[in-house]
Amino acid sequence: MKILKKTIIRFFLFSILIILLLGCAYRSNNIEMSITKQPEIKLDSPTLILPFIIQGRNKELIDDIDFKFYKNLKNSLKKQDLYYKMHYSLNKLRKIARDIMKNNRVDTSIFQRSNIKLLFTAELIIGEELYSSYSEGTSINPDYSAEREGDPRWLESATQWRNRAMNDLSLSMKLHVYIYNIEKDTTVYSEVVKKEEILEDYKNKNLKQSRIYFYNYLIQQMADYYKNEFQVHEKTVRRKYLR
Amino acid sequence: MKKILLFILTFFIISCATRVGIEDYNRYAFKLLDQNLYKEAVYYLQKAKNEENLTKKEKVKIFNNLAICYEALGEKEKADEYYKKALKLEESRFVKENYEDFKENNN
Repeated sequence: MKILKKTIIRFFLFSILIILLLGCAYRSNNIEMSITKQPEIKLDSPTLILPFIIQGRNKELIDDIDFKFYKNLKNSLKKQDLYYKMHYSLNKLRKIARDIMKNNRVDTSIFQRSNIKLLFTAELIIGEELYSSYSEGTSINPDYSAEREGDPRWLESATQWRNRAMNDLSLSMKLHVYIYNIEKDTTVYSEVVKKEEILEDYKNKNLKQSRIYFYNYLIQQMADYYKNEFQVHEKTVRRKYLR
Repeated sequence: MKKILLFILTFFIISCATRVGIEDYNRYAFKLLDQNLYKEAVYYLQKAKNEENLTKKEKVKIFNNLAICYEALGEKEKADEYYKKALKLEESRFVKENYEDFKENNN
């Protein structure tokens, strides 16, 4: 009985010690908060969005992509000094956009009387590709490769995935963004962004609807890209608060 | 044995009662931070920081939490300063993670 009593007391003291030690260790709580993120380049001068130059198939589905992009930015950013087309002729603006892209001399005299300081445009290359078109050889499906952080559960033999890939369609977009500074008479920003979406089993789907969905998704992606690169914006981050 | 036990228990209760200030400020600041009341959280954390006889662990906590508040307020220099102060005292994993994320967002 005495031994039992001693053991219980020892156990009790040991528990107190453990509790005290645990109390000394850090305990953390995750907290989500909104922070102001500075852009890579701040576009705070009045900017005119020039027509985008689109290449590739199904151009007719996205011929108004520049306007949709502008509307998206205007709604989400509430940016007052962002303009689209204004009173200028589309042909003239298209020529300016092409000159910026080809690094030709840009005639900006039409903007002399306006407050426009920057010109924003983009070259879009829309692609559609069947996986089978590059499925030669014996390598694994590139979409499930380690390079693309593929899921090992999807590891298939080359023959298997080539057969399956005949039903897949890859929709891609290469976007080359240009920003031209009228006062400096030079291109101040030129970057290429690539986006891709896989449409599995496309033969059983409404292809036109899928394409429209993909292009709308791309407009959203472009707007996010614009915000991250050129605008001060809010971003939600997670931090560890120590208790 | 009973007397020893009673002594430990009394000592534990008294020590808890005397250290209540810092923990209270810290806990309250967390609640404020959770409601996006960053300036108010800074006020209470500064109060905790100015308490006397802070242990090293308490300083690390307060500096880290102050850095978070300043980051939320957009005062990046102060946030950087407090993260560095906390890390100088102790290379805590949590503070390190916070500081790395902070630097990534401000590059």
